[in-house]
Amino acid sequence: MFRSPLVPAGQASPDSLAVPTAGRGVLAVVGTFSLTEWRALYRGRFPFVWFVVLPAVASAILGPALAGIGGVGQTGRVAIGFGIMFCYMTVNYVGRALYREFDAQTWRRTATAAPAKGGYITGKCLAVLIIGIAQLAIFLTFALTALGLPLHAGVLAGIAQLVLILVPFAMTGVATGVLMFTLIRRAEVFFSITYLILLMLGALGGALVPSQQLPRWAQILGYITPHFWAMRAIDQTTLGAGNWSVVLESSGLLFLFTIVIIGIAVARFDYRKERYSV
Amino acid sequence: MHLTSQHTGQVQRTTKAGIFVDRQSVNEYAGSMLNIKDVDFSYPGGLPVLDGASLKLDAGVVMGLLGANGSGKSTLLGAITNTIEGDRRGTIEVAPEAIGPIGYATQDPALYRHLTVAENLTHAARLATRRWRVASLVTRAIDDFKLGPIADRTARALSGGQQRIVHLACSFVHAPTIRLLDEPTTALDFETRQTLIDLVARWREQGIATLVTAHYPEDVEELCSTITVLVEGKTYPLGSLRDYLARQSRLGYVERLDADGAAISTELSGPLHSLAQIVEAAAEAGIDASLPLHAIEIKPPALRDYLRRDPSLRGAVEEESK
Repeated sequence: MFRSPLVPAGQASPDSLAVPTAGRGVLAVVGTFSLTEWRALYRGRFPFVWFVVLPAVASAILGPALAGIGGVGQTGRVAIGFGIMFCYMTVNYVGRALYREFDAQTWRRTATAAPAKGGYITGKCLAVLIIGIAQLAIFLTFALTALGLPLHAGVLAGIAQLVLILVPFAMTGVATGVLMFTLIRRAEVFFSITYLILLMLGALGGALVPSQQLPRWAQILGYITPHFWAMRAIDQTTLGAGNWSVVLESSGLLFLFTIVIIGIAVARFDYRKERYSV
Repeated sequence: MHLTSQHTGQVQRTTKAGIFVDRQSVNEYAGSMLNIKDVDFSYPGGLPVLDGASLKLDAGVVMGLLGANGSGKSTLLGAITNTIEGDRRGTIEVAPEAIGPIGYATQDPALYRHLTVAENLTHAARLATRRWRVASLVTRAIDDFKLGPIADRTARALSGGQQRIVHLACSFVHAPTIRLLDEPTTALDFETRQTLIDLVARWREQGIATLVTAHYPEDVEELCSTITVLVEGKTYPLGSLRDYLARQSRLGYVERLDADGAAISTELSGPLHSLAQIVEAAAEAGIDASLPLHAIEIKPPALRDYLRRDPSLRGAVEEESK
């Protein structure tokens, strides 16, 4: 509590002008913001429609037709594919969480307290990440139990492999949302782009139909989407032989995607940069 | 890295966070909680807004920051709290005994609309202080700002005035010793405004250093003990409000009746402390002494009269500079 930030006159050093904080820990910051975001999501309840109802309806409508393209066990794969695609609503909801500070005008108060950036971003995104993972778990469970999707790797190994895929995949969505927030000042632009990203990455990554059914150029572009690596590993665990090397390779790449994207996002993040809510 | 402070003359250490920390200079502050020296600020790609702004905010002082629209009042608060993007230069010193992050109540109400009043207060408190203090601080804020009847209502269900007072409570829930208020009385009803005035008076007694920007002279007169004027990005301290006004000319109004019995009112200015001075001022104002005198009023000085004649207080600044 005994701090005095001093900057010699004439010296430009914005960070060193920062007012000292009360020394709150990162975990306390995470807890503060995640609790507020949980309340926002719970009281909104609308995320349930986007994350679960909409992909379920789309899967029910398009599933039988798309299943015919791929062959045996494809109905379950289509359901998971829609789950994977709509899991990227995390991008949208991370944006909602971060732009909420500007909509509520609370960003200056947050900036004045200047909590640790990592703690702030984690707190803001934790609820959305958990919802994204839960959504994937719901769709997988449904596909495995009701749609007859096989689990060739075995139950325990299969579950372990799926956890290794789904968690980092959901994290890539959250990281993408944070990065987009640091790049886009206006919320309406952000939200328009999120739907485009959801559809484009889902399609290119083989979430709707298997990659091998796509045009060659789309297959090549698909390699740079997290969706491709997630679907590749899921296919291996369910329809394939459950080969650990394929799963670990995909999982590692998904973690790498997350680290690179969130690294850039955190480096760019600045409390002082004003954003404009819808 | 070691630097010698230009202000304390003592060796300072630089922390990893880039904050210059000097724990040895407690005596240097001698009651001054916030010391701003030669702060320049310009927005990205824009013209300079602050140009060597300086002020010293002592404990137990409520300083009114006056200036015309666009003079840089809000920018100065943003520069102090490091919440605006742009090029800043200069020195901002916070006293070693200052507690917690600076409390900053912005112009617009800052509330999470889906949270209740109590939840908003809890969030703000958790953001700025340690967890074990949160419950007691929230309870105290609810009492101080008289929020008991609305504590369980969501922010979106509050009126504009209620949102403003809850916003103020959230901004200072962590009981900081330095408080910045940006036009705090906007949209407050009479009762709530009075609550704020009483609170600020109590803060003064508690030794809290408060900086208030205001458009309305009534606010400054009721809230503030000293004033500083901001003109074109430069600050001009006018000192104690009472002393400043006492130094100023009094205002007088003389009414004479014309041939038809209609009142002709003329404004006088000048020292107006004696009858001779009043007569002299009346002559200077060109009042026809042959008409019958109907009324004469000499008013004690009030800030609003000076602002009416000189909204930017540029004249006051020039006068004080002499």
